[in-house]
Amino acid sequence: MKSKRFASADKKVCVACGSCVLVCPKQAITVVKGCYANVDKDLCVGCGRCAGICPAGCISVKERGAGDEKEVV
Amino acid sequence: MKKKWYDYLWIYEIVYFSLGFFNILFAWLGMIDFLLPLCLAVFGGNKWFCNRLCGRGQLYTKLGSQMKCSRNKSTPKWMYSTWFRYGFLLFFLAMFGNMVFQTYLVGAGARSLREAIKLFWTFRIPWGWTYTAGTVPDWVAQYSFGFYSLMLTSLLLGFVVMGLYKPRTWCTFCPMGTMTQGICKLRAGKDKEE
Repeated sequence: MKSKRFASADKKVCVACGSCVLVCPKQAITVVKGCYANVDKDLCVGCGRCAGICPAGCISVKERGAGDEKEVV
Repeated sequence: MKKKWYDYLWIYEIVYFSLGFFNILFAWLGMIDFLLPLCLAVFGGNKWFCNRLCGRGQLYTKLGSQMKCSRNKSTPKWMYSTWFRYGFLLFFLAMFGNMVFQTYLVGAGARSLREAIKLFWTFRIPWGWTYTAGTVPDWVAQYSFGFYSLMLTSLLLGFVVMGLYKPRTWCTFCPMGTMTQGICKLRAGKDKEE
């Protein structure tokens, strides 16, 4: 069963430092071609650790389901 | 997750800065931190250096997250805005260029070697005990003092923003990070076109 929440990174703001990758307990985040962090929605459990460590504040935790876009954190 | 050898590079960072207190010539080792990320970005198209190898980033995480030396507050928006990131990169490159020019002047004999480091591009601190005159050509020593100044200044700036904001806030405007991400974006754009 998938978690209720998932993290999502803003490509435009991300500085691709990779601190989120290191704290993710599910290895759900990758830095794509050195440009931005990408969260694998299927692996993400929405714990929010990445959002807490991101120095650019570009990760938000959203609710799954209809629209997928409702921000909760 | 099992730790890899590169998870301990924060120790290298401490060793590097400590060596500069004993023999300034070790400052040249810092060139690895300059050239390796660039090579990885240009030839590999990635930020693997920032993501895994950066000892400085690891040190900020260790102190900021694990040892709780960071307030862990949000970084101000302007600090990770594009104009500030690229502006700081330009400023940093200009200062680097000036340092190289000073080295050239010493090499050409137009200026004498100054056994001092300059912190925050302003404060000159005598650092003569770390160098015995005549050990290497003057320009080699001058570059060491200049380069170490740059490295120490940026480390201290990083500590300040680590304390005030997130552990790795420095990474948002780190000139190397901005430069390598810029290169990666250019490369990725090119790949798309092809």
